[in-house]
Formats: sequence, structure tokens, C-alpha cells
Amino acid sequence: MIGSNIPDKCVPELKKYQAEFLQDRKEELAKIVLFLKDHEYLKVRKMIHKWEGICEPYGFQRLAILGKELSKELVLENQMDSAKAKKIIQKMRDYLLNFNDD
Amino acid sequence: MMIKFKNILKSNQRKFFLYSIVGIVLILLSSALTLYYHNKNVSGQVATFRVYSAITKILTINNEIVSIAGKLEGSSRSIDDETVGIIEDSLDSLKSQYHLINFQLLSANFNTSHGRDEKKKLKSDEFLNNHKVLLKDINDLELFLKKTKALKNENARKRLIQISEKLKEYNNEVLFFLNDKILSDHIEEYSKLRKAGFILVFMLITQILLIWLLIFRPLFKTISQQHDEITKASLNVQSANRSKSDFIANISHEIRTPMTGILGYTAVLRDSNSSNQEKDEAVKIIDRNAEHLMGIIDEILDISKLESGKFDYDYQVVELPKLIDDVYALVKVKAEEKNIDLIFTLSGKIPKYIKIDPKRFKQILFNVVGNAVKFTNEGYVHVKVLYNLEEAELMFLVRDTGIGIELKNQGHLFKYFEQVDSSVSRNHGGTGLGLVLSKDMAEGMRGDVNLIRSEINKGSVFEISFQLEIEHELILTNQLNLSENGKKEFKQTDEREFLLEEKRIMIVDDAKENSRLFEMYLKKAGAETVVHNNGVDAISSAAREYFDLILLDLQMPGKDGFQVLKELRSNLFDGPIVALTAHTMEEEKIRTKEAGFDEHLSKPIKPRDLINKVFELIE
Repeated sequence: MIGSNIPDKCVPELKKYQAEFLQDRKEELAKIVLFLKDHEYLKVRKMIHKWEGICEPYGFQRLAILGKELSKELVLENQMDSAKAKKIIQKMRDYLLNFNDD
Repeated sequence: MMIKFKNILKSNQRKFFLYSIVGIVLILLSSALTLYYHNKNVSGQVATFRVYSAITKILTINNEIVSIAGKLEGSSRSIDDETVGIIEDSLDSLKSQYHLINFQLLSANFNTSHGRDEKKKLKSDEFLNNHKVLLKDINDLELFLKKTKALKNENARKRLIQISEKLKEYNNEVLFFLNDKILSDHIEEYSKLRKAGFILVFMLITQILLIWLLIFRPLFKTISQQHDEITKASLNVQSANRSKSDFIANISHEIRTPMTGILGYTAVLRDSNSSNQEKDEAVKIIDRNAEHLMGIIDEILDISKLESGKFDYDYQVVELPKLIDDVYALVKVKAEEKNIDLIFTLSGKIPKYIKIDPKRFKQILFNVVGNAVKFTNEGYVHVKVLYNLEEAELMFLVRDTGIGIELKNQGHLFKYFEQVDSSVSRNHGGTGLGLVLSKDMAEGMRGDVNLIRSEINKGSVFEISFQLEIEHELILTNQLNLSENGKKEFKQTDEREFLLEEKRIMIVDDAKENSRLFEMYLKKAGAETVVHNNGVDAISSAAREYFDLILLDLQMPGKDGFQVLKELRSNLFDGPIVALTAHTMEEEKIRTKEAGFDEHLSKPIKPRDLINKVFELIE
């Protein structure tokens, strides 16, 4: 857990979209990895900006925090700590694969 | 009911009388036209027969003269006095007959009957000319006879013979003419008779149709209508009787229940073995039941007064928030017992003081809000208070999340003795008179109570309205200051929950995650939402449906936000349109403002900011 001891939980009104939401994020994460490899930071920043905006209100606070951390790294662009970025992406992947609020 | 019947009967009588008059007038007119046509034919025939008769006479007289002249021509002796007398008489008669023929031939009937045929007319004119010449000859002969005193000389005889020759020629002409004329006249008469036959049949059919259309059809319609009305009235009477029986059964149960309590606990009071605590409890229960009984009796008396028109209102200038608080305090207890939320909110400002009958006002509000609580088992009852300054109209929107009312039963809500379902009174209690009484009382105070909408298991929305008379200085307030039983401060529920109630908002965003979020926020605030993920669907939707506001994303595939805005503003939507964008830059805000957006919101948006902004723009 990062920044919170309360486990993430999708808000009840949006619960019906939870599976679709997580699947979409998995697909976007795959794209983020590819964009990072190609040094297309602007595209990654746009995607992460969207994550920041939607993950928290849907109830996925940790994913939002991870998004913010990646954003900080992205600001540096060429001086970006790739190892740190990779670590964050791995955490995101783990989160998306293992999320279970039941 | 009787008055309604009388009115229908009177109206039908008037209609029937009018139709009958119109029918009779039309039948008389058509009959007169037929008669006129027939009479015209007959007159023509009579004129022709008169001419024939005159001509026959002429021929007879002519023959007579010719016969005399023949005799004279054959003999050498002079004419005796007797023959001269006969000839003179014949000439007189001949002259008068010629005048008659002249008159008949010149008469309109004769001429008109031949006028259409040019050939016949020429022949007739020729005949008239000859006739005039002959008449001149006859006059000459008469003069000659007078001059010579007698026809005894040779000259006179010769003259007579000359005239008789002329008459012979004339006779032949007349015979030809007559033959011709009789033939053509007969053909014409037959053709006219055939025409007259057709006209008569046509008139007969027309008259039968007129009689059906103007007399029998309205009569049949009137009888059918009256039959329907009587059947309907009879069914209504049966239904009213059934409702009254149900009502009496229900009211007896309603009266018996507290009465049983009163009688039972009176026995506890009488019992010397009862403890003081038991007696205190009994007094409380008797008191509560007596109050309940009083309430039922009051309702029945109110109906009786309203029905007899003896219901009086005691208008006073009173503090509106205080009245609302009184009702709130009364209903709150029931809501707490059922563990449902009772929320009173203000939309804008309301008058602090109003002139109204406070007792009846509270009774109406209590009945409607109390009903909402009674029929809600979970969720909330929300009372929104609004005031329309321009029209001086005070309004209460009472929304519940209760059992709802079926569409087929909604029409019975505001009828005396017709509680939606008799099982309702068994399950929920009450006489079923509250709503209808409230409506009648509100109408008496220039107000109304209406059901706005209702859905089974989703709830209902009622509207109470009053047209206020503002005689005193209008002081507005935005405070309800609700208290609980007049002691504890009421913790008002967040108004934002209902801020967008009754509002329709369109969300246009290609990112489904965003549109779902906005939809959730807006729905929580009570709004109705419609979501589109592209500009084309949004434009088509705005052309078909009503919206209070549109949230429009700027970056969308296909038509972007600016293009959609342009099309929406071309006569499709003139309400507020809010630009949704991921950018926070000032330039972007200026750009959207210049394009014609009413507001610019940068994603991510906090729910409170979104609701406040949307509310602000709509209001």
C-alpha cells in the first residue's frame, strides 16, 4: 500500500464498470510501456494525466498515486530515472493484475 | 348529475329543433322548385292549346266564308240581306278570334317555348306577319261593307271572292304551320316530361337524404348519446355506492380501533386493582386514541363543510418558516419511526411572512408530506420550497422514494371516498380523504395540490402551490431554521444532493470513464442525464429533446467541441453549454469563451465544483 492503509474499493455507483475499467487500464499500460521505449513522453503524459483524473473518483486511489509518481518522473524526460519509472510501471501492472476488493 | 343531464337534454332539444327547421325549410324549397318547374311546363302547354283552339275556330269561320263565297261565285243573283248579315257576323267573330290569336301568339309563353329554336322562331314570325296582313284585309272588307251598306252589287261580290281566295291560302298556311308546330311541340313536351321525371326522382332522393341527415341522424345520435350518458351515470352511481360502502367499512374500522382502546383502558381505570403506573399509561393511551378519533371526525366534518360550501378560511399574516417548521416537527416523528430521511430544502428565497389560513395551510402540508412518509418504507422524503417572485406563487415539491402509484389508480387520487386501493387503508391506515381534502382546501385558498409523477416502487412527486396575496411589505428569507420538536437544532442535509432535481443535462464526451463519472455526480444531485460519446449524436439529440444544460468535451474524434457548439447554437440549443477540457491554460479559457461557451471546466473536476457550476448556470 502506498499512502493509504484503506484498501481500494470501486465506488458502488460505478461497480458495474469496474472490470471494463481495469481492462482498459491494462491495455493503456501496455501502450505506455511502448511509448516509453520510443521516448514519446508527451503521449505517456497525456495518458497518465487522464489516469490521475479518473482513477481516484472511481475509487482506485493507489493507481492514481502511482500515476502521479510516474508523472513526476516524466517531467524530467531525458533525465528520467528509467529504473524508477520501470518500478512504478511494474507496481501498476501488479495492482491491475491483483486487484480484488471482495 | 341531474344538472348535467338537463343540460345535455336542453342542448340536444335545441340542436334537434334547429336541424328540423333547417330540414323542413330545405324540403319546402326543393318542393317549391319542383312545383315551379312543373307549373312552367303546364303553363306553356295551356298557352299552346289556347292558340290551337283559336286557330281551329279561325279555320271553321274561314271555311264558312269560303263556302259562302263559293256559293256566290256559282250564282249570278245578288246576295240577300240574310247572307250579308251572316257574313258580317262571321267577319266580326273572325276579327275577334284574330285578335285573340294575335295576343296568344305574342304572349311570352308561346314565344319563349319556341325562342330557343331559331328555325321555329323564324317560321312563327312569318306566320305572325301573314296574320297581320290578313287582319288588315279583314278590316278593309269591313270598311267596304259599311261603305256599300250591302253586298248586293257585283263589286262587293268580287271583293268577297278575292278575300275568300286569300283566306284559302291562309288556311293552307295555317294547316302546314299547325302540323309542323304540333309535331315539334309534342317532341318538346315529351323531352320536358322525361326531364321532369328525372328531376322529380332526384328531388325525392334529395328529400329522403335531407330527412335522414337533418332529422333522423341527429335524433339517433342524441338517443345514443343519452343512452351512453345514462349508462355511464349508472356505472358512476354504482361505483360511488361501492366506494361509499368501502369508505363506511373503512371508517367504522378507523373509529372502532381507537374506540376499542378507549373502552379497554377505561376499564383499566375503573379497576381498583390497577396500579398508578398502569392508570397513568391508560390515561395516555385514552388521550392518544381520543385525539386520533377527533382527527377522523374533523376530516369528515371538513368534507361535509366543503361539500355544502360552508368552509370558512381564517386569513392571517403569519411567519412562513414557522409554519413549515411546525409541519416538519409533526412529520419528523413518523419519519424517524420508519427510519427514513425527511429533508426540507429551499430553492432561492421565500417570503418571510404570508397571508394565509395557517391552520388549513398546515393541514394541507401535513397531509401531503405525511402521506409521502406513510407510503415510503426506505429512502427519503424531500420537500423543496420555492417561491416565484414574479407570479407571487409559493410552491412545495414533495418527492418520496416510496411505493408509488399505478397509472390506472392515479385518476382516483383526488376523488372523495376513493382511496387508491382499499387494501392500502388496511395496510397503512387512514380514511383516504387527506389528499382530496387538501386539494379542495388549497383550491379554496387560490392554490392546488397535484400529482406530478409517480412510478411503482420508485416513488412519487406531489406539488402544492399557493397564489399569494402580498399586501404587506415583502421580506424574503433563505433560512428555514428547522428545529426538532422546537428544541434541538436540525442538521440540514447537504442541499447539493437535490440541487439539480428536475433538471435534464446532456453529457458529451468520447472518454466513457469521464462521462460515467459526470453522470454519477449529476445523478447524485438529482439530475436526469443523457450521455453521448460523439458530436453527431449530441446534435441530433438536442434537436429532439429538451435539456437544461450541455456539458461538451472539446477534444473528440469526428466533430470536435467547437464544431458541435457552432451547430448547437444555430437554432438547436440556446441554453448554457459548458466546455470540458483537460487543459487549464488561460488561453484555452479565453478561446472557449470567444467561441460562445458559457463556462470552461478543466478535468479532473471535483463533484462539488461541477454541481455548483451547473446549478449556477441553470438558475
